[in-house]
Amino acid sequence: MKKFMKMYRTNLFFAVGTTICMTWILIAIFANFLAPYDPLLQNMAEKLKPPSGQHWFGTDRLGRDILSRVIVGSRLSISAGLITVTVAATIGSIYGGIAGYVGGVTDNIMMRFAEMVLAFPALILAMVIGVVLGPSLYNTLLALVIVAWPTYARVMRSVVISIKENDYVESSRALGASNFRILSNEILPNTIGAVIILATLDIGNQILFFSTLSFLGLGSPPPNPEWGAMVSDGMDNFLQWWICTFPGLAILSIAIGANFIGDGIRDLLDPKLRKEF
Amino acid sequence: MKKRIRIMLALVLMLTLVVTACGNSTPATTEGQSESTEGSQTEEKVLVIALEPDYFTFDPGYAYELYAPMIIGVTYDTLYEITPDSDFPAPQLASECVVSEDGLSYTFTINPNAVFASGNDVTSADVKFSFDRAKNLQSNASALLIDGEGNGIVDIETPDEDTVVIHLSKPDSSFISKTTSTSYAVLDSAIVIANGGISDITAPGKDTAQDYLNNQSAGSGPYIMESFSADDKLVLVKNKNYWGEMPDYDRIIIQDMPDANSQLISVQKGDIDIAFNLSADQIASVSSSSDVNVISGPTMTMGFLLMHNDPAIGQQVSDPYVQKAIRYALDYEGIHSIIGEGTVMPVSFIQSGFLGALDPVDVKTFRDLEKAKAFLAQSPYPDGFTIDFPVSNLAPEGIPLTLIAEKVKSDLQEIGININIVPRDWGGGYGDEYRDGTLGFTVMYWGPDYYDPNNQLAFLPGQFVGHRAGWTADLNPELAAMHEQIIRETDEAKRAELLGQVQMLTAENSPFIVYAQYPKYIVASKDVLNVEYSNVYRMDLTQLKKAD
Repeated sequence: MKKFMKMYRTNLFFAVGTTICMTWILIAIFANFLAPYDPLLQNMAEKLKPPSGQHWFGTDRLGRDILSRVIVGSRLSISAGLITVTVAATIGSIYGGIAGYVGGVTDNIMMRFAEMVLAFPALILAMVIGVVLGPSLYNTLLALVIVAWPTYARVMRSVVISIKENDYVESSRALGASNFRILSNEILPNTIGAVIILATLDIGNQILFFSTLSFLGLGSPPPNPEWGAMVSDGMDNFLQWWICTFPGLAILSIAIGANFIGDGIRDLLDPKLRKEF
Repeated sequence: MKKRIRIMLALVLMLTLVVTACGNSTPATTEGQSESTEGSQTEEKVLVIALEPDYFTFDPGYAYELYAPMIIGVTYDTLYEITPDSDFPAPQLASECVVSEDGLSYTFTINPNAVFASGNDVTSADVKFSFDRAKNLQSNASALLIDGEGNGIVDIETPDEDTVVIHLSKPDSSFISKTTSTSYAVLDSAIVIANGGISDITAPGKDTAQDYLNNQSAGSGPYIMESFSADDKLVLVKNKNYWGEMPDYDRIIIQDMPDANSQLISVQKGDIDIAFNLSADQIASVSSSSDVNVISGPTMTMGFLLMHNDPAIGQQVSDPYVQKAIRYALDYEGIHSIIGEGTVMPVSFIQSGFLGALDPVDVKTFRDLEKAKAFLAQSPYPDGFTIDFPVSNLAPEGIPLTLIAEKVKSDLQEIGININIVPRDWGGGYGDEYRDGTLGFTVMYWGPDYYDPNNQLAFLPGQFVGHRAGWTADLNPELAAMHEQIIRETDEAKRAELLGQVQMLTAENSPFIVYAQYPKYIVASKDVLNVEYSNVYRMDLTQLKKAD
């Protein structure tokens, strides 16, 4: 924590990233209080109004307030990113951990399967899953997880393999420790760093990816506010620039913020890259 | 090693040369074109239209797409045509038509002056060949010559070179209207036969003329199709041998431009003359500009909600009281403001503008939430209900159906009906389910296949669109019987009256709610005159004139 505060003070990118993400998380938590209008409320008399004092971000084709939709939409995007990363990291780590620890033929079979999934272009795979299962929020998240987990499996496996060769693992085994004990006491604590770095770096990507899918119409069904879908709405009305600009900026800011944090944490946890401040 | 580098360098150099050579050649041709478009009258008049096309074939025996008539309508002639001045067909290739007493045979006399672009005379044999081929190909286009039940043209006789006698299996009051459609285009039989055209019953599978006809035309229209490359452009040039009044433009380029925003920017910059696929919201910013005209006109495209009558499929919306409640709960004025100015709401499924159509509904006063709630209270679901609402990814006239669905959702919430919008892919199952009639509650659109109100009778109980809503003939035998009656009625005044009755009977009691008849917006450069939307051809290219 001390290190964290120090980094906040000294690493500008990290500070900016944390500020952006904290702001978004606060917005997401208090979305219902912050949104000036009901994000689903249609008002045909007010449709396609440019940004003004009344509607800071303007209104869309059904006269809904874009500011409110961006605010409430943050909930969906942020939680989608967090859920995807958490689930994918858990599944991927367990899978990669087993493969790396057991080794041999099992490792080979398991990793070839993971690579097979990885070999598909991620977006296409997610789209296929989304189309086959039908567009719904759960299916979209499922598609994201299916695409995301192999990366974690690969990283976890390589870390586990390098750690299990260490002398302290060997000595623990010599002392008669069970596989479970070795895994939980010796290996896991030393791998968690790598996974956390990867996960934080990944959150931004997953939010971006989620928005891409919802842009393509594979997110949660309308009229739920969703950044990607809102940008896609605005595509038809290019001259009413505010419809797609503001949700687009929201996606951009959170993706950049998450990436800055990821870079910062990598600097913090990776001893090879750690700079002396 | 050095040798390899040298070879690499040579390759790179060659590539650069090729690229620059290509780069140079393209501007050169476009410059040449633009030079020829400007300047004195002796030079070629060129028109560029931007379109989001749906066509892929220009063989009249197959073409069925929305924009195909724009091309086939000017490269081929039909016996009768729809002119901008009148909604009733006027003779084109035919000089007159005599209908027999029983309404079963039509005798057409062909205009002796008519010649094909190739110089061949248009004879009765060409008409017989074309109609037989279109009928026997068993394509989508064949449905206008012979329907699924085998009703339609049974026989075509050619007593002499200029006379064709067409025998129908049963009287059809819309037959003359049908002959204006592209399926009835008259082909130059000599050319088509030479390129693999077959007109007898062996045609499906054996006829190989489609490839030829996709790249050039073989008709007698004012234009000849010079070239077509999918996803790029289609070029029409004036037919020097045209037998009628010559059109103004020498060359018409129809440029593929699927993105409406690029169409809009291009037309304002003057890169194109006409932008065809713009919606009301997009043209809102244009109206004030002085370089272009915004032309709008009503289309025959209508959007409707479908509420399946079978309780197993339609669930709650199969209830007649629920259907009425929904009808009065929708905010049509709001829906029309999404679609744009010029939208109207027909009384029922016969579009405003057709023979016998009643005056459109006044959307300002139609909505009645109290009435809707009262109807709902009489149904088994007085407190409302929740139901799935599948919506396809289609966008008639540029307005996504999902947008309409979002509006419907918010309107129905006011009477306690909660719909869950389920976005579906047209090609990924929705289309098949819609055609099979297994969707309970949805929103779709419809455009007539030929310019006649009889086309709309497909919505009647027992007919094929009616079936999609589970509206079988036994649910309303009186209404179902009117189909046959109207089809057989050759007296136009009586037919109009019957069509009026159909609308009265279905205004409140039908599983369809026709929420709008869409308008069309075209943005055209002020250099082009007579730009008008046509419900038959999308745009009648022969009418267009270049301003002096």
